[in-house]
Amino acid sequence: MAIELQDVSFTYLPGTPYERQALRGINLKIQEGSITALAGHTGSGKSTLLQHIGGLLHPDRGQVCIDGADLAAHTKQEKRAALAACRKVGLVFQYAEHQLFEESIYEDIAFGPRNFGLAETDVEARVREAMARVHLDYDAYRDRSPFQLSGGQMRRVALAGVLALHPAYLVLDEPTAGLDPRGRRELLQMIRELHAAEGTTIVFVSHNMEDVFAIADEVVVLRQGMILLQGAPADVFAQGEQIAAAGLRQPELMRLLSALRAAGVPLSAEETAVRTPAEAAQAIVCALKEKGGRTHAQ
Amino acid sequence: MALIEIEHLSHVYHAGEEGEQTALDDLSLSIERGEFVAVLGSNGSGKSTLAKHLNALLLPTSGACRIDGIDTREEADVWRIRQKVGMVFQNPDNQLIAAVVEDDVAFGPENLGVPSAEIRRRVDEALKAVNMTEFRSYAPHLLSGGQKQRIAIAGTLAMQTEAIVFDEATAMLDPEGRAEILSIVQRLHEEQGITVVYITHFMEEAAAADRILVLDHGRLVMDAPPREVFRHARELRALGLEVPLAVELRDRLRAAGVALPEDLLTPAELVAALSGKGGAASGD
Ligand SMILES: Nc1ncnc2c1ncn2[C@@H]1O[C@H](COP(=O)(O)OP(=O)(O)O)[C@@H](O)[C@H]1O
Ligand SMILES: Nc1ncnc2c1ncn2[C@@H]1O[C@H](COP(=O)(O)OP(=O)(O)O)[C@@H](O)[C@H]1O
Ligand SMILES: [Mg+2]
Ligand SMILES: [Mg+2]
Repeated sequence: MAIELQDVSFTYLPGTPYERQALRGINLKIQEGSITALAGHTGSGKSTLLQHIGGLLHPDRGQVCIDGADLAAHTKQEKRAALAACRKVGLVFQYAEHQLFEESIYEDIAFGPRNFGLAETDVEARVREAMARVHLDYDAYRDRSPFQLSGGQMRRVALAGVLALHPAYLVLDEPTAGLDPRGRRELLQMIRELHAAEGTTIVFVSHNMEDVFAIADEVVVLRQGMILLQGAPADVFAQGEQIAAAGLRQPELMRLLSALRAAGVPLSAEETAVRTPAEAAQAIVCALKEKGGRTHAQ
Repeated sequence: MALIEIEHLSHVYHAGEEGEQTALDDLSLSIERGEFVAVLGSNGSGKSTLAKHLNALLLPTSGACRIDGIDTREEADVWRIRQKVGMVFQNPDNQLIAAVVEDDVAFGPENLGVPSAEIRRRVDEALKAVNMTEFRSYAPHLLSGGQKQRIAIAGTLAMQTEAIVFDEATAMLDPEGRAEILSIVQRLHEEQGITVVYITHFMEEAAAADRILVLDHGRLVMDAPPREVFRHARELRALGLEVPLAVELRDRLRAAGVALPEDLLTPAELVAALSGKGGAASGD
């Protein structure tokens, strides 16, 4: 099953001086089990698209389907299906930690499951499990105020609150924005772990091409509310001119390897698209050997 | 006399109460006029607390902070201090107050009673310096995050402060917005000699500074030029920080036996060294 958008268009504040078309005829299928990144310049429509997937906004034209159910249903029958479909999607907003409100971390994470009508014992099990997923020790943290935590930890609490609902589709808006390097690394790691352990489908918005390159297996580049590019990150980012036209930059690693290649280090096009510094170093060492004479043991 | 002098500065939040928190712990350093200093440190290391001491938004619990010789605890001098040190914060939405861009930029000097012809001149210059002249009559809420940050910078320029402190001012921006802000800051530093204190989580930005301060648990643990600081990749990682990509590759390649200078810093230097074109950077 999958998330499917068919010819989705959306305009903010139609008929006012601030009218703004944010999405223009989007056709997109997000496969179950994938990690898909939505990339694009500020204002390209990423957050608007994400809110359509979360069922918070409904298209003016076209439809958004989760596992075949249209999120904008009209009949009573359809409404029940739409609600069930909506509940499969967990949406983590940008700067989600700003929306924490309960006195304790436990209460904050328990809010959603309780709202779903779960019994208190089940709620507790959900909270325990979600805290483990975001690497927060249950006993040490359950009674603490979320406001005593660092920004990165607070964001993890917000993420746990969504994970406690057991979403089949986890949708995140700029999950690493504003975090320090350690917070960023840890959060990406948690998303990866969740994907590996539960097979949760991940859709995330990012303007950080390093993050996209690190964890996505599919990337969708938006420009002015339309899809400009879509495919595997290595293939998409290799299209330097298009990436620039979208107001983005290639991942730094790719730029550096391309510069080396242009300067005569014999790297293949494929090698300039490796994703980690470890792989890059290995490719460079091989290329230098090939070129000969420039490496020597220390 | 250095522009910023910090002596044995400690800052304790909620001193003597429940939740007491030592945010700065016996910090001593000085920053000269015209320096470009980056500040690194993981979340909670005390960067923002330090920043807020530099224009008397916070006062030392013990020790001293002097700006151009003025002790920040001299209450009567708070406005003199704020005329010397401006601040640009992380969230662009919380910083602009007026309904029109040029009024926002004029706000500071108006408060100081600067004559209106002079204000107009300063606003023109400040908007020009951040490439925002064409937006002068816009409402700030119609601007992008990066544009709002440029207006916030223009506001401090119109105050003609000697120093500007940037507290993660690029954290909420996209890569293009971030690059624009950094290049404007570099230009103001070079052309107008403005002293810059630049707090960031982006190691590539810090590499552009003259000097890097690294904070950990409220203590100053490194204070050296980027080339020197980024020799210590292992220590930086242990503090929850990173090194720039070129430095990471440098270390991996050196470990694999490739001869490279141990203080190599930038992608351009790495390319030059590996392609054998021109002497790779030795330390400067
Ligand atoms: N609540 C809103 N009201 C009016 N216009 C909006 C609103 N949210 C977004 N927009 C506009 O819609 C377009 C797409 O915005 P958004 O989806 O937030 O982009 P992104 O997340 O890629 O930065 C932009 O032009 C933006 O100004
Ligand atoms: N208003 C405050 N009240 C209590 N503690 C605070 C306050 N502001 C910051 N702190 C604490 O002081 C320490 C340093 O915080 P801060 O200067 O904001 O660090 P950074 O900017 O490096 O993330 C942290 O432990 C933080 O929790
Ligand atoms: Mg957005
Ligand atoms: Mg801070």
